[in-house]
Amino acid sequence: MNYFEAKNVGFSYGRGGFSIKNINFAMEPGETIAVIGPNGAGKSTLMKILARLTPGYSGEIFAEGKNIKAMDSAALARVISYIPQSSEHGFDFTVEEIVSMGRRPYTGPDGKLKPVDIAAVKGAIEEIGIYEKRKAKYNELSGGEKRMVLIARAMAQATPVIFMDEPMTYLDIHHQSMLMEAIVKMNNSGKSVLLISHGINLASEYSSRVAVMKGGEFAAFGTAKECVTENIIRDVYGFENFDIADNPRTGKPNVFIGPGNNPESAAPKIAEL
Amino acid sequence: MSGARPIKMSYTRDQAMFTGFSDSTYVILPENPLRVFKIFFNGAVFISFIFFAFILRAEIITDDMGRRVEVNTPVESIVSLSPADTEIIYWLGLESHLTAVSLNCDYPLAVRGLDRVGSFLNPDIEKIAAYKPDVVISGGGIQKKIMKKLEKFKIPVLVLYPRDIDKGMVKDMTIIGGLAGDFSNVKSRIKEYIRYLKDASAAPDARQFRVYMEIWGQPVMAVGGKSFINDELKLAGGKNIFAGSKIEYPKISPEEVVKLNPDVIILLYKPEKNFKDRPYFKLTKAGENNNIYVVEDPDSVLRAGPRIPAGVKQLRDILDRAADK
Amino acid sequence: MTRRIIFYSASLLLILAVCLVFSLCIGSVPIPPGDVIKALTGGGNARMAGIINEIRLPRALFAILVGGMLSLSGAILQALLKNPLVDPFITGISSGAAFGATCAIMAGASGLVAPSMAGAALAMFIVYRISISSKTLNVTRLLLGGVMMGSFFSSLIMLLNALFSKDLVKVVFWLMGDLSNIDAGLLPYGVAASLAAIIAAVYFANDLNIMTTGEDEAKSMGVKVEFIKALYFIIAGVLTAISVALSGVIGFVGLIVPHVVRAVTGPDMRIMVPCSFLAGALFLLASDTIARTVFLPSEIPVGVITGLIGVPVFIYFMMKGRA
Repeated sequence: MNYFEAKNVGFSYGRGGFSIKNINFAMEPGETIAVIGPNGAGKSTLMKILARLTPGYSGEIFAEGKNIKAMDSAALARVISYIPQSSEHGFDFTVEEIVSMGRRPYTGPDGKLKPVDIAAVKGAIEEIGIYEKRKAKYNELSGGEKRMVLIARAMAQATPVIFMDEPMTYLDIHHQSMLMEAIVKMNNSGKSVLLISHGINLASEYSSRVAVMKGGEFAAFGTAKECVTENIIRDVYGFENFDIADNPRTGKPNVFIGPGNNPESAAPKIAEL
Repeated sequence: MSGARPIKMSYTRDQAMFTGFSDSTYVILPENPLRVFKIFFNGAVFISFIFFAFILRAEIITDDMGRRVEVNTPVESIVSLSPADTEIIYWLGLESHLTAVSLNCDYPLAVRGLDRVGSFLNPDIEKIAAYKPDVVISGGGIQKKIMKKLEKFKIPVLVLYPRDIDKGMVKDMTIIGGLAGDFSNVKSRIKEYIRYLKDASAAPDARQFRVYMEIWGQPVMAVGGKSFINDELKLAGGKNIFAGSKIEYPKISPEEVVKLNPDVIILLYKPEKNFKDRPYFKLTKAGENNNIYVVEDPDSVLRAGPRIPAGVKQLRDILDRAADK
Repeated sequence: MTRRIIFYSASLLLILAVCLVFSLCIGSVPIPPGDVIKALTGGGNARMAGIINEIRLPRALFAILVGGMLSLSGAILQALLKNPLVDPFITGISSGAAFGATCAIMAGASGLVAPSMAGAALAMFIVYRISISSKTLNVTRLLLGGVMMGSFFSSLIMLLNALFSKDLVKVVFWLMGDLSNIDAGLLPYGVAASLAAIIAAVYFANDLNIMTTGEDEAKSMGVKVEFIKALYFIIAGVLTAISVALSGVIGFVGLIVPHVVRAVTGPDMRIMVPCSFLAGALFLLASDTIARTVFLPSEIPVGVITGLIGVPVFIYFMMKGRA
């Protein structure tokens, strides 16, 4: 059974506004799908729709075989967890408290942690490697450390499907590699990850499949080799001065860009790692 | 009975004659030799000033704030911004001179037909100026700020608020009465007021009750020693338990009422239905003997105007009822 | 976690009890603690017992209730709006209540509780409607709507004052807040409302914690976000409305007490709910006792004392936090 499936999903912001259409894909256990594309392509909006954070979509979405439309919020939260691109925490909760919040689908409103919950929280904290920081105030951490805490929270939530919206933003190299390691661990334990990425090359290296999004639709969907091609990159991003070559170590296609690409295009310059 | 008090006012002889209240003495200051000397000393300008002032019969009236205000008497048009002073004008029979009043002036009923020039707190300067009255009578307090503005329009403002219900009231009635010039009716009305006040008062040997007068319940505010209502109570045969307070209407702790244990409690406003159940009432002698009363017509007690004798009478009737128990 | 809740709550409860007995001893007529206990248990001189049981005790209990309600309301709104600078009056509900009371004062009515509740209900309804956009409660619009309605009702009050200036002093004093003359018959309602509010607020407190990290995240963890927002808005609104209806507008309690409590206990609403209530009760009881005894025979408006004490305490905790 597929953990997650989207059939003909669409969404519209109202008369003549931006709209998403024809989204069809399924996620298999243990795989990572990266969604890439220029700004304004609708990636974040799509992710929120798929996580049922935005109502009013057309089409059908299935989690563990069940239509999510009618699912109880706690039940859905046991299947999909979501890590936003940025978040404002109003108050000084500790890392431990934040990660414990991830157990909400299992504890109910009163938040009382049973031994299994405590074990899950401890496990997540250790797995991610933030044990020394567990009593620190979340708001006092660096951007990278904060991101790792949210990953730990998603792990504590113990869902088969994890959504991450641009998890690499604000991360230094050290934390980027920690993050990639965490994603690999998730895949190895059978969890699927859907992530939005600005980094074409990162997406190529670490995902099993890539979805290239433009103007609210999938311009391409398949393996990195199938999607990171000259035509698709030129078409979607509007770049002219670039090359595609395989990473000698992994065999995955990487994009190398030179200067002089149309500065007016909506796509950001891809930062090389 | 009080001795002559040197008062910085100048009355015409006519006005001074009609005070007739035996307990006070008005002193007509003799021509101050220093003043005469100054007049001569300042020469022609002063002489011609006095000459013109005499022609126009401008008077210098000292109002209750001690301001010396120049008014051209007799006045034809008065604007009154104070409900109490409006009542005095009607009482003295001078309503034909009343051009406009404040929104808060509501007694007697005849006043309803008059034009309004703003409220007590917020008089309408432009409207007042448009009427070009010969004098504006103000109740003072918050109205002080409009005085300067009216003065710019060359409109004299008299601030009159009687500080007590006998001498102060007579003084203000006299001033208002004098504005219209014809004093014959006025003096009899003033004498009537004094007589009514005497009639309403309790006999000096009447039983004196210790009384708590409450002017508002939320928050609890009492009538203090400085208020003229205190004097009304005295005439009615009562002793205000908060007479020692130097404020007019102190915001007091309800426990103080229990501590001072009055014989009678009088409310000067319409309270809630079961006001007699208020704990700080029940625990006093007044509460135990059911001597808690609400004044039927609060305005006559609360307003420093010609209805004061009616207010005193109400208070005295209440104390008589208490005495009968 | 439960241990911490019990520890903090029990400490506050103990201090509160001591302050209560102390406050019953002082007033126009000083009464020694022994006599206070006697009066409370039905004995003692009748007049003393009357003073204790009919005047001081109800007043102290109302101070406890109103202080607790305002403080809890402030704590809830600070969490809901994710802003520690919020006080319960930002919802505009207190201005609505004040408007109702002002109308009643000017109409010459003396019972102000019902008109205040009516005004508060009106304000709450309007603010709630303003805050709904595409069927969800938008917290930013709630804040804006509350501030706007607060200003609007305040302007209406000033208009009434300008037009019917006779009762200005009464309105001003009522607005300043006063615990001295509340009908003791309303105590059971106050207690019931407070208990209901505390229980409901504690039960879902963890969901409110999660919501402070972000609405989308909370939703993705299974929190029923719309329900939580509506529930806590209503709880905070009703608590504020009742407080203002009983005692006028007493400032600083709802803003300062939750802040200080949070500095000691941390932001977890499961602890903040009972502790804000108890700390607010303590604060207002102390302030009211001071307000009614320091300047005898006069009383100072209790809002003056909450400001004069509250602000320095607040600044102290703020400075300490910096270090």
